[in-house]
Parts: sequence; C-alpha cells; structure tokens
Amino acid sequence: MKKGLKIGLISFGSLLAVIIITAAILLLHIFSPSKLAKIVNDQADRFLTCDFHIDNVGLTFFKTFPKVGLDLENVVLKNPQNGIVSDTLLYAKSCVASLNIRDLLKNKHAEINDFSLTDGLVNLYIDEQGNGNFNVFVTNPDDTSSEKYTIDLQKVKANNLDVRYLNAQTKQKAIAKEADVTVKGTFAENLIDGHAEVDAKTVLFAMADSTLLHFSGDDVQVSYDGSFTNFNMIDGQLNADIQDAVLRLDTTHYLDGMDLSVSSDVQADLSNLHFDLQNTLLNIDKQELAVNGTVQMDTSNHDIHTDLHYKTGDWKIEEILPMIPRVLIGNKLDDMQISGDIALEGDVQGTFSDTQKPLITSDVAWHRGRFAMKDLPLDFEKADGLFDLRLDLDNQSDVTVKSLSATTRKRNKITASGTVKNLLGKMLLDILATGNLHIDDFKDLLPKDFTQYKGKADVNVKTQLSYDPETKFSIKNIEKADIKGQFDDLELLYHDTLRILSPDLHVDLTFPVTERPYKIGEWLHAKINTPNLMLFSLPQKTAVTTTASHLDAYTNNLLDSTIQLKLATAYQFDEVSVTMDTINARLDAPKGTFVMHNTDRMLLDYTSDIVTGNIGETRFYTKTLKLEGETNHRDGEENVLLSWSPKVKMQLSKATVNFAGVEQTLSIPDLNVDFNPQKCVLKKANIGFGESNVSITGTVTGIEPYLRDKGLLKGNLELVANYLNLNELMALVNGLNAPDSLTAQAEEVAKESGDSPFIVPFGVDVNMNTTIQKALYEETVFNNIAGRVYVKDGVLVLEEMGLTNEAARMQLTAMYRTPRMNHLFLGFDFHLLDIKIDKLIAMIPEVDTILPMLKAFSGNAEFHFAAETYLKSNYDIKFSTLRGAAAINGHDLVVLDNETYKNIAKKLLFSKKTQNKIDSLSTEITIFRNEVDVYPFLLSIDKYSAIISGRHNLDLTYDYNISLLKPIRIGLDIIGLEDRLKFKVGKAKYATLFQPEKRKVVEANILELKTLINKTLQANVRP
Amino acid sequence: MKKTNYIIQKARKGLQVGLLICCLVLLMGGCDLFSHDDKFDKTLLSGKWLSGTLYEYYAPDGTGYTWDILDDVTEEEAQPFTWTLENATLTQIHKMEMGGNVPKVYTVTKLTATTFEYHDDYGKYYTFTKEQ
Repeated sequence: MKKGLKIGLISFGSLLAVIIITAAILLLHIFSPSKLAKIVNDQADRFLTCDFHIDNVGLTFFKTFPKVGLDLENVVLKNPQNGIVSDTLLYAKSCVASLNIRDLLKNKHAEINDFSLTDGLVNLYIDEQGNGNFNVFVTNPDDTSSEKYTIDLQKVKANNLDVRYLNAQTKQKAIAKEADVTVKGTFAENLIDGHAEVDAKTVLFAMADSTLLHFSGDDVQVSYDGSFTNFNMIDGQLNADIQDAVLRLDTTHYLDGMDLSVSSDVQADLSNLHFDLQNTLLNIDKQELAVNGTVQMDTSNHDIHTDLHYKTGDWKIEEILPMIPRVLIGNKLDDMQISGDIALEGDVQGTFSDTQKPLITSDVAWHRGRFAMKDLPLDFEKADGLFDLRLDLDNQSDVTVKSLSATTRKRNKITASGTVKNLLGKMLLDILATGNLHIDDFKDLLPKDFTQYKGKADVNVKTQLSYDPETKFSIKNIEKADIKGQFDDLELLYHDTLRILSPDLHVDLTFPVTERPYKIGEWLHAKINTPNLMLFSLPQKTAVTTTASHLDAYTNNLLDSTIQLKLATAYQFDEVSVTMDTINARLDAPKGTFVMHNTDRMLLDYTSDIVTGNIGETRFYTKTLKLEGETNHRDGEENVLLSWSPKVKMQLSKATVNFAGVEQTLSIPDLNVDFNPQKCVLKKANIGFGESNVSITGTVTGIEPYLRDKGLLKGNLELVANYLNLNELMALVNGLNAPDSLTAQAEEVAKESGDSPFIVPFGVDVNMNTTIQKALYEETVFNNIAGRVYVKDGVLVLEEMGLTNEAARMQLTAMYRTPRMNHLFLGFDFHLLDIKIDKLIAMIPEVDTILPMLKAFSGNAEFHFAAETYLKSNYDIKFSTLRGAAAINGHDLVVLDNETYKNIAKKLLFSKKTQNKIDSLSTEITIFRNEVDVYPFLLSIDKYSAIISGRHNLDLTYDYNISLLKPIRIGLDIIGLEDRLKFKVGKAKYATLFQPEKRKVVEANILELKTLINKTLQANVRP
Repeated sequence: MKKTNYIIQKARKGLQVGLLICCLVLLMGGCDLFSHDDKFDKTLLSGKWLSGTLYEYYAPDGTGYTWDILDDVTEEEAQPFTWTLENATLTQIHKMEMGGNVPKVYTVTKLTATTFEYHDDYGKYYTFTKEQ
C-alpha cells in the first residue's frame, strides 16, 4: 500500500508540476488555447522525461472562480517500460488548476487553490528492478539550492479516476475504479500533511505470486487525516468504510462479502510494512472489535508479526461463527450448535506465516448461551460462563472454564469449572461440575432396563475425560471421575417388574481406582448409603426393604466391552426384610461381602444376627447365621442348585423351625454344614424335634444326580440321640418325595379311613449309624439302641439294631417299604436275648397268635423270629403273603399250671407230684400263610420226656401231637378250636426222631428242615 | 375184679381189632395201596397253576412263585420259592427277603397236564388247574 500511496503522491506531484509549468507559460506568453497548448507541449521537455501531450490548454475563470485557472483537455503522459502493458502513465480528459505562479516561481511555493482531474486513468508500474514508470521528472544534479519547492493544496479533486498499479518486483497489484479523490494539505520537502478522502466504486488488491492473496471491496470510502513523510511514514487517523469486502488467501475466505468499517490512529512505516494501530475500532458486519498494537509484515518472506490487544463488543455467536475461516477451526464446530452473546478481550501475539500462527489469548464471557453437540445427548440453555482461552495453533490450545452455569432439559441446573486442554485436537477435559437434576428428565440416557425414573439428584462430578471431535463421544471418553450424588425420593422401575424406592440415597462413584481389594481388576469404586431402600416386584408379590444400608462396591472397567462385568461389594444393613409370596423373612444386621468374578462365578460371605420369618405357615428363626459360599453358573441347567452350583459353608445357632400342621418345633441349636452339589458335609448338626434330640454328623453325596432325577441322595450319617420319638420323626418324613401316584393313593386312603400308612421317603439312600439312648415307638420305649438305619428310595431298613427294654435285649433287622398303598411290605428279623416270656407277649402281642403255646411257659428265653408279609393300607396282614420262621430256646422254664396243661397231664397220666419245670426247650417254627407249623422239639418235665409238634392255624384251630417218650411211649393228639380242644391219646408220632440210629427218612428230613430254618435265622444274627 | 375182667375183655377186643388191622395193612401193602413211592413227571409241573384265587408258578429250573389275587397281589408282586419233586414229595422252600427259609412239604397225589393235586400232613388239600 505504501508504494501505491507513494506512487499516487508522486503522480499527483508530477501532474501538479505539469500544471504549474503550463500555467506559467500561459501566464507569461500565451493566452490562446492552441498557442498555450503548443507552448506547454514545447516546454514540457524541460520538466518531464516522458512523452507529454495536451490537446488544449485554456484559461478559465468559471471553474476556478474567483481565481483564474488553466483548463487542460486530454492530458496524456506516456512512459513505455519493459513489462508494462500500457505505456500511458496518465490520462485525464479534463484537468483544471489554479495556482499562484509568481509564488511558485519566486518562492518555489506552489499554492494550488483549485485542482481537479476528471475522467482519467493512472497506470503505475514498477519493474522487477524497482524502477517506476512514474519517475518522469527532470532532475538537475547541479541544483544545489537549499530552497525546495513546497506545495499547498487548497483543493485537489479527482473524479472518476481509474488507478492501476502493478509492482513486478513485489508481485503486487492494485486497482481502484471510478475513484473520487479529495486532497487538502501541504507538501514540503518530503513531508505531506493534510487530509485526503478517497471514494472508489471498486478497490482490488492482490498478490501476483503464489500467495494468492486477494482483497476487494465496493463503495470504498477512505479518509485519512495526518502526515505522510518521505513517502513512507504515515501518522494520522484513518477511517475506512468498505462494502462487500472480500479477503481471500488461496481458497480461504477471511472476509466474504462483509461490510467493514475501520477507524484507527495509524502510524505506519510503509517500507517496512510496520503498522502501529491505536484506538482502532473495526466493525465487521456490525460486530465491533477494538484493536491496539502493532502489525508488521516481513517483506522478505511475507511473515506477519503481530502484537495486538483486542476487545470485542457483545457478539452474537451465531453471527460470528460463520465469519471464522474454516482453515482456522477446521470442522471442529460442524457438529456443534452454539449461540448466545460472547465478548472477548485478549491479545494476539506472534508470527503469522505458513509455518507459524500467533498466540491468541482471550477472556471470554458467554451469556444467554445455548449449546448442543451432535453426539452429546444434552442441550444446554441459559448458559453463562467465563473462560480463559489460549489459542495456540502451533502447539496446544486450551480453555480454562472459570465458571459456567446452564440449564439442560428445561429445569436441570448445572454448573461447571475446569480446563479443556488441546481444544482443537483430542481434548482433555478436567471438569468439576455440579448438577441439580430431575432424574426422569434423563430417562433416555439411563439404562433402558429401567422403564421409569423419578426423583431429584444433587450431583457433584469431578472428572477427566477426553474428546476427539473426529470420533463419537461416549462414556468411554471419561478417563477419571469422582461422582457424588444425593438422590431424593428416588423411584425406579426395572423391566416394569421391579420397583426400587429410596427417599434418600447417597452415591459416591470414583473411577478409575488403583486399589485392588478384591483382585477383580478394580476400576469403579461405588459407595452407596441409604437409610431406607425398598424393592417391590410387580405385582407386589416380592418386597425387600432395608434400613441403614451401606454398600462399598467395586467393578472392573465398565467401559471395556471386551471383558465381562466383575463386581465386588462389602455390604452392611441394619435390617433387611423380605416378603415373597408366602415367604417372609427379617434379617438383623446382615453384613459381609459379595464378589462376582463374572456372571457365572460369585462369592458370598454373609453373617447376621437374628434371621426370622416364615415360608407359608412354616416359621423359622435363627439367632445367628453365617454363610460362606461361591457359585459357578452352568448354562443349560433348569434346576437352580445345578445352575448355580453353590459351594456353601453355613453355620447357624439356636435356630428353630415350626412346620405347618406340625405341633412340634424343630430346633437346631447348632448347625455347621459344608455344602456343594457333590457333597454335603454335616460337621455338626444338633437337632431337636418335639421330644427328640439328635446330633447328626456325616456326609450326604449324590446331590447332583438326585437333582437330575438320575440318582438317589446318598447319606452316610452318624446319629446320636438322647431321646428319639420315632412316632414324631416318622410323621415328619412321612411320604417325603413319594411318587405322585403313591401320594394320591395315600390321600385316597386317608379320605376313606381317616388315616394312611407311613410312606418311607423316596429319592434318598441314607445310611445312618445310630446310637440312641432312648427311643419311643408307638407306646414302647427302647433303650440303648445302636445300629444302622437305611432309607433307600422308599425302603426303610433297620440293620442289626441292638436295643434293650425291660423285657429283653434285642437285635432287630427290619425292612419296610411301600411299593403301593395297599401293598406294604414289612419284614423283620427279631432276635431277643434273655427275654421274659410274659413280657415278650406283652410287648409283641402277635407272638401269642403265632405261638399260643408260649403263654403256657414262664421264664426267660431266647427268641429268634423272622417274618415278612405284605400289608393292606390299614396294616392288616395279607395272610397269603405271610412267611415266617422262628426259633425259641428256653432254659429253666416253668410250665404254667393252666387248664390245657392239666388236660395234657391227665391224658398222659402225669403224676400229681410232677414238677412243672423244664430244663430246656428248643424249637423251630415256620409260618406260611395262616399256617403255623411247630417242628418237633424235645421237652423234659421232671421224669417225663416228650416230643411236641403240630400245627395251628391263625384261625385258632389246632392240630398238635405230643409224643411221650418216657416213661412210656404214648401219643396225645390235641385237635380243635382253642376253646374246644379235644385230647386224644394215641401213638407216639416221633418216637425215634432224636435217636439217630433209629431215625426214619421222614424224620431225617424234618431235622434237615429244622437245621435249615435255624441256619438261615442265625445268619442274620450279629456276632 | 369186675374192673380187671373189663380190662381183659377190652384188651382182647383191641387185640382182635389190631390183628384185623394188621391183616388189612399187610393186604393193602401187598397191593401197594399206601405206597408213597408214586413217581410224577416233574416236567408236567412247569407253568402257572390256579386254585381258586391262589396262583402257583413252577419253572423248570426249580424256582417258582406264588400269589393270591384275593389279597390284591399281582403276579409281578408274587413271592418266590424253590421246589423239588422227588417221587410224590413236593418240597417248597419259600425264600424270605430278610433271609429266612420257610420249607413246606407236600404229597402230590395227581399231576397231569391240566390238574395238579397235593396235600400236607395236616390234611390240607390243594387242587390246581393249569393256566394257559
């Protein structure tokens, strides 16, 4: 620009010189136009080195009234030069000037009172060597006069002037079309001082090199009031208005059709392109910008050095943003919608070049703002903020958020402060934010599993996050966060089935964390405290309420979708209440830890004080409960236990269970169990039920096959009891796991008869080694019971149970099973040692039916009785199935002196002095259907020996034979009904049975059968 | 004296009767009337026999089982025994699940393809017909 100004001034000076010369000639010699023109053209060579031509020169009084002036027509200056397009330096259709010639010649002072050019052209050119085509004045090197010309411009005007400028050296060109120029001032030596105004229809400036800098404007109005020294130094006030301004560098538009106005106190060094701008006020499309400082362009490399301070007015962001060249901000703002009033004040310092950009700092005030971003699901309104912006395009641009407040989704207030590093790249935000939020307003952002949100939250968030505008923003961008939230009247609905309520919930989230208390790759630490938490399933069949709840939880990286969720928490509650269908439970002071390594493996550590509740009408209570467990989930399992495969160590104390419809209380003073699907170890299980009190230890196996219905639940247990009421125990386990068909039959029987038989539990294979001090069955008390009890899938076996009562020492092996309700199997092998016969009959009345003769004896005997039969549902014997074998060995018995004995003694001619003592008695008996066969046995009473044998039927008909061997051989048949027996003397039936040398075949067979019976009975006797 | 004569007369009568019986026994023994040495074809025993509501099944291998539908017992619920048939003596040994044995000895009086009869020493008779 300084070149153009210089050239303009020089041109103007040259023109002025020509006019002065012309005027002088006119004044001195010639007054006619033709003569004046001839004189001027002839004299021009004295002043000009270029071709000079004026068509007409005349005097004018009107145009310069009241002074006389010259009126020149078609003034042409030509100065051809290499590289120049046109050789015309100056052309003016009309030129009018009035000046004081005498003052000019005498005092070398040109006072131009009036000078105007009309309809002209100025074509300025500087070649590559720096020679301008406007250096057309003759200079006299011999002129050493100290006096210099001065010019006083009273009124200089140019109308409709086109000015073209081309500098081949600096590759600059400029064009001003239809320019009107007004100049008023003085020119002395190298100092121009005055006021100039330029109005041009079009102004264009461009670089003719690869810079591709372009500036243009229409309706340009420029005024300058100041000095211009040495055609280089400018010091004045500049005002400019430019319409439709375009500033383009390469393809980047810095101004694009904008209206500009500038006012500035300018000091400029044109040769060095150094500008010092003070009180500069720039208005770009009504956006005001005040600038102070310096700008300098390095002419060698076109670098622009800036040191500016700026301050804007209140800009409308939505109006400003389109003005910002895309090259400066790229596509950073493409996905943003930002508006509001923004005011900036700051500095621009540094160099602007191809490789450098100046540092721009700014204090930014943002008011009444609105902000939205494509991937940010929240819009912010009513934003007010103060920011410190540091825009360093060469390095990193940062923003400090000094304060920011806004509302989002109409009624949610947030505030924030912090920093944003690398604003124009991958941003790193360090934000401290608070929010007063209505949770339901953010429903769309929260997990879709929850279908309803209600409540308010005061949230404090301290977070570090990164954001790359090139990629979609997600929560993964959060690198560190500490979130504290207080929720009031929280109400959540999960899958429309679970309602979660808390009037007051505190949440403290921190991530990432460095501590590793659970070794699960801890990333998130969550502390949750609430005085009340309620969970209801809908419809409200399940409800869980907690008081004083404290959760201290960790999860692994929730943002890493490639890893499974891991969760660990310590928990503590004052109280937890659970209601689920007919289940109610209350847990006092539960606490412990829960660790979920993944959705398949979980660990639980639980302790609590009192646990009480009910399942239906079954009530339970425990004073303490401790659990240690882990689960390993397996897919494809329908059963919950198999699916979760729990391993549990459970201890409880002073527990009780009251079963529905059972009067007795199940008490568990101590229970210590290790459980897993393969094995359950009862380390200690003290159990009381009704009057019974047992201690059980041992293992239960086969749980998994049992749950799959592929095997039996196997138990190997030690049972020790002080007292066991078998009646109660049997009632407790009656029908356990029985097949549906059997249960239905039992119900039918109970309906018909009011009672149903005992059904042995099914699905189990339990082996119990028992030691029972006292047991009650029916009305009989047994003492010191020891032996094994098996329960195997509907079969109950008592194996070699040793027991005593007041009548005898006993060993019992028994089996009871319930294949169907009207076909119950009962078998037993009863071995009674040293039993009092009368007590035996009292204890087992059925013995009198089987062995009615036994009541004729008194004393102790050994009784071995094995029998089995099927029973009807009312326990009636199915006689067709009755089988039995018995052996009786007695010593020192007394035959009771009853009516039957008297009849026998009479028929066999016993002496009245006969002592009714029996040394020994040994007999075998079989029972088949309703037949009781007494195999022949030898009986000695006093001096009499007899063999007794026979049969009686269970209908109480008798067919017995007494073969008296000593002192005479005689037989006695006893036949008939019990109360009408017939005694018939006859032959001794077994005279030689116990005389081997005389024994007959039949008798031998009988003895073999006796041996067979005895052997098989003895086989069941425990050594 | 009167009593003594009475006893002597009684003894004589008894002796006469005894002698008469001895003669009859000798005669009957000669014609094998009381012989228990009847032999029956045990192969005829195989199969299911029915006497009223009582069933017995004999297998050729010496096993068998019995049930009585009067007591609501089905064949599947029948109780086992082993059997032997020596001449006319049928021995059933009924096995108890608990381990005992209950032997029963019968005398077979008839065994054909369709009829099976036996009795025990206490005069209990059974007549079975073959079930197809």
